[in-house]
Amino acid sequence: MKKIVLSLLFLSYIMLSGCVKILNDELKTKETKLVLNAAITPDSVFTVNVSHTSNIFEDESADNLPFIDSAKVLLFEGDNLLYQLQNTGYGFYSNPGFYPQTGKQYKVTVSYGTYHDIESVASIPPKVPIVSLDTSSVFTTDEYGNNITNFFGEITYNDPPGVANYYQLSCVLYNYYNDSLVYVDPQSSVWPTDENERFFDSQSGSSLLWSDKLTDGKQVTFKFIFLYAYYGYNKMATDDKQTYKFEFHLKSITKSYFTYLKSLGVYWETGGSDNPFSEPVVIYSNVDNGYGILGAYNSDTISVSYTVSTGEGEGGKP
Amino acid sequence: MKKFIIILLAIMLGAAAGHAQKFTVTGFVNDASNGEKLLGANVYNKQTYAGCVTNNYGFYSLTQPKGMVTVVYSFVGYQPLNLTFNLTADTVINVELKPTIELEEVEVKANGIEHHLESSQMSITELPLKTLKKLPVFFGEVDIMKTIQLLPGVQSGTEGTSGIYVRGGGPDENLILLDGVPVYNANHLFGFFSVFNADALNSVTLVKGGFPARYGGRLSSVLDIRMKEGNSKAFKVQGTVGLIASKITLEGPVVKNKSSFIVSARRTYIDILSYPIQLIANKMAGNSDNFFGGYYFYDLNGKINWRFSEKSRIYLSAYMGNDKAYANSKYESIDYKTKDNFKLRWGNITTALRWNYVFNKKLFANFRGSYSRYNFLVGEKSDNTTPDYHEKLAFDYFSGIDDLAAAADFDFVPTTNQYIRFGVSNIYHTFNPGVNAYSFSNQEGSDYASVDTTFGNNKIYANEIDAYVEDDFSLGSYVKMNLGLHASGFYVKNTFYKSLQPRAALRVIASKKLSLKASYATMAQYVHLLTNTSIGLPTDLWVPVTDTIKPMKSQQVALGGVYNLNDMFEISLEGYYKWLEDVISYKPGASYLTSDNNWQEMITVGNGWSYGAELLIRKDMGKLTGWIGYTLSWSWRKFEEVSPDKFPYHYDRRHDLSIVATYKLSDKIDFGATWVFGTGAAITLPYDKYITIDNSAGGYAGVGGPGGMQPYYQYVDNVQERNNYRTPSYHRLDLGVNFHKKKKWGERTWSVGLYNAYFRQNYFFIFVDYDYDHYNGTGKPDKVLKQVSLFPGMPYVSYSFKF
Repeated sequence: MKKIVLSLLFLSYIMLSGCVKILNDELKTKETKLVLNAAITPDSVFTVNVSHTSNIFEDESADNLPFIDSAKVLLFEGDNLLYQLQNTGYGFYSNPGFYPQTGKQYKVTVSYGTYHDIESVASIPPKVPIVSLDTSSVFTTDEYGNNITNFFGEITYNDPPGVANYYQLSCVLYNYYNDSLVYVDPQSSVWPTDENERFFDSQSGSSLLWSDKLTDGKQVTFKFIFLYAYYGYNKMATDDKQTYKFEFHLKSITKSYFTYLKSLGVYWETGGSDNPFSEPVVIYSNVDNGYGILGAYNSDTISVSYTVSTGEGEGGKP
Repeated sequence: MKKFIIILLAIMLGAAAGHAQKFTVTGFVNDASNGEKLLGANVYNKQTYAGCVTNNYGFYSLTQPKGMVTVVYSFVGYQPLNLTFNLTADTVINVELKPTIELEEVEVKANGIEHHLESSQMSITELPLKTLKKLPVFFGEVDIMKTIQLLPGVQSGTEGTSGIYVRGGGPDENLILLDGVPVYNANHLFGFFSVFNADALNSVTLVKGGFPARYGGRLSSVLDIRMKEGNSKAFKVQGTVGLIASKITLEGPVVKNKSSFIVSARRTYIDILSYPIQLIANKMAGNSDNFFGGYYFYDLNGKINWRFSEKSRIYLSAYMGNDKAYANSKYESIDYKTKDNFKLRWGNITTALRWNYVFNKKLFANFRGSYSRYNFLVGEKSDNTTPDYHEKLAFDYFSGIDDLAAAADFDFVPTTNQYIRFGVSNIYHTFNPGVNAYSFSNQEGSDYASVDTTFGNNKIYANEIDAYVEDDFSLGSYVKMNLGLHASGFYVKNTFYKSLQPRAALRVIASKKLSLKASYATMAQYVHLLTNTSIGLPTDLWVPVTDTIKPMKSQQVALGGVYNLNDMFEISLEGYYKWLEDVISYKPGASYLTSDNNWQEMITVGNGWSYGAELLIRKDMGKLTGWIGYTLSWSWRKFEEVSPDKFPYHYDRRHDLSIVATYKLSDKIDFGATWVFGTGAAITLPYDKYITIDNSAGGYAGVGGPGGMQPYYQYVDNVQERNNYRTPSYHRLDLGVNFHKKKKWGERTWSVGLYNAYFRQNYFFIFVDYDYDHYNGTGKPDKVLKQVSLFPGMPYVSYSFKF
């Protein structure tokens, strides 16, 4: 018995002998660099965000954000200077009333203090129109009595032939209660179905990314899931109604923006750099001498609304 | 290539030509104490110093001029034997050498050093198994892989693990052969132990470069492990009882002078020891809830041989080893009953049937049929009963590789100055890169339909053929060469890859004490291991080349010399440069733990190169034995998809030093100590971070931005360079002492020691985290770098016996 007890104590020691210690290494940043973030589109005022890199150990609290509000940000069309963009707070710079145009090449340069100047170039690709969007829903009840609705979309578009095209499908959800806007989810998720998962290059955050590598010049139709909803038990009061408006954006995006979003998607999917069981992710950048992205896209939009019938309540079938 | 072949043939023929009347002495060299074959024993004419060494089956063939000759048979650790006789005809002489008593060191010549001085082969190390058992060990388990890690040119993997990384090569670039059969996963317990039971082994040889043409299929090393044949003199038993494992070996003659056998078994008992704790815990939790988990591994080695005649002998050898981790839980109440079973199992099986046949005094043959299998299984079962329904769920994921192989190898000894080897082999591979089986059945009341399905990757079948010829020959008294050609082909999915790999090695005797060596070798590899760089996970997956993932290739040149210092110390110094082509790496973000069906999408192809110098000072005789090994090396990788620039390989170590010593105080006590030092590993850490703005959903609408609203942002760690951080240096001291005592029934040994004796906290992995003991000015904990270490100061004790 004594031997068993000793053995058990020894085993416990083994189990507990792994230990953690703090290293004194500071991981000194070689050079602090400027970061440019933007995704330009003809539908929005030309806006960029400027910040700088921070040491990995630096405080991330809201009062220590690395946004730069006094940089010199120049916007060029080709090599011609268009504007010096004006700061609007939190590192944002724009020129009110200036909307970028499809096909034109824009260059942004940023200078700030002793930092190395950075620059990046982007052109907005042509819009790819949505030919059609069909939707359907499947309504079930789970074992706990919750009502579940799976919403499916089927989108069709014509891929322009002879050029490499890159796409992003995203969704904005507007929720109305008795015609009043309650909330907006700018990143309402879209997912592939089990059958076409491999068609997509990435699920970056809440959107789908793919290229025309296999579908150049063809009419493309694919199915996707856009809401997997749980609804509670409480019925709405009589005469109340709830409306869900889904706004789908089929974005034709630049290759560099596609690569950036894809790498960012992989980064979040694998748990950033904290996962010891995956290789670290280098996030793509098209900013010379710095980091970040000058992305560009052209979006075609289509909306679909669902209204929960009066008296059926939140648990009702839409 | 044609020119190379013509030159090779011309030199070979030149070396073989023009000799007067000679006769050949052939036979086997055995250990007198147990009848085991002595592999690599020296056999030479004392007058002319012309000689040879025994092959992997203890066979030798020495051709000498007619007349009186004195032939010396010698082997490290054995008393040399001189036989003088009148050579008038071809003669068969089988000899037995007696083991030496280390105290009589003066009488023992440095035969091992002579062998290395003489041999044309470089970058080769025979592991002294007798020394190995005196060294301090991890958890009391003698482990050849951990001893190999102490050799120059060999890097160890993560703390405590058994992986080897040779001259900048990857973990899949080592051909590990057990009696000539590849072992695909040499790990027990996630790599903390190797699968090889030292009690069952006869010899262990590591080749790091200058590969003779008989070897092929891997880029960086060949670890040739030969099992014992079994004591042919008497029935013997030896065993060890350790803290976490015990083992026993039985060996003896089946029919005296005709057949012998050996069986060896080992099992851990962590699961058995922890069972009482779990039982108590379950009782304390009440009868309704039961949980039992455990882990064990076992392995079995067996070998039997039968001698039909002096010329013909057959061997059947087998190895089987398995690891199993499990967790079973049961919950019962009046209304509900739940049973869950989880299991994780992996293991190897190797079997070889070999037939040695001596066709004549100059031609020795070995024919082999073999089977090797590695498989991995993870499975879960659950059984749920409620008042409303009864459901059963089962999920299994399994992967592995099966090899069926046949080979014929020939040793042809036309003259004493020439030793020709040639052979062919064929391996039929079946790769199983991951299959999922899922079943769900509703017995009654469930809302879901029953499912029984299998999905995942299809099996991949491939055929690998190899042929080789090599000639080891002398040109005069000073120069010896080994020229060879290895040809291989791999057929998979209608694609055929082929490769011609020239090999060359040169030895020049500069003086009686010094020989200089040079070698060149090209290698090709048709199988890849999808693995991680930390621990030896059983999920590591062997996959073949494909139409997009091409074979890996390497070229290596080495220059060096061997010096005999006072017949006691062997000093060897080698420099090497190795190029690696089409090696694979995980792409950024690829996860090791996902069983992604399309593994090709997870990897990227690139190149590598490494160079360095290795110094080995070795002493195999006397009271004090051991070695000092030092390596200065660089190892680089370049993968376009990972980084535009070259980056250091994870196992790039600028300095690596091992000091290994055993001291025999008396027949009753011996000591062992090892000290290792290595530059830290190259790992990837983010040095800085930056903000990404969510640009989705129409720019910044609705989430802030222009107009003074705070944007929707997230920090990302900035990793611009792979392997940009060096972990702290690795160093460790292990100490051990063995107490031997003769008993009436045999001999027993108590071994006690301490692994990592000065409690060094070496790197296991490093990560960025918060220090909750220190807060900054804003009241938040400081962010710091933390290191996880394993096994600081690990004592061990074991009890061994033999009779």
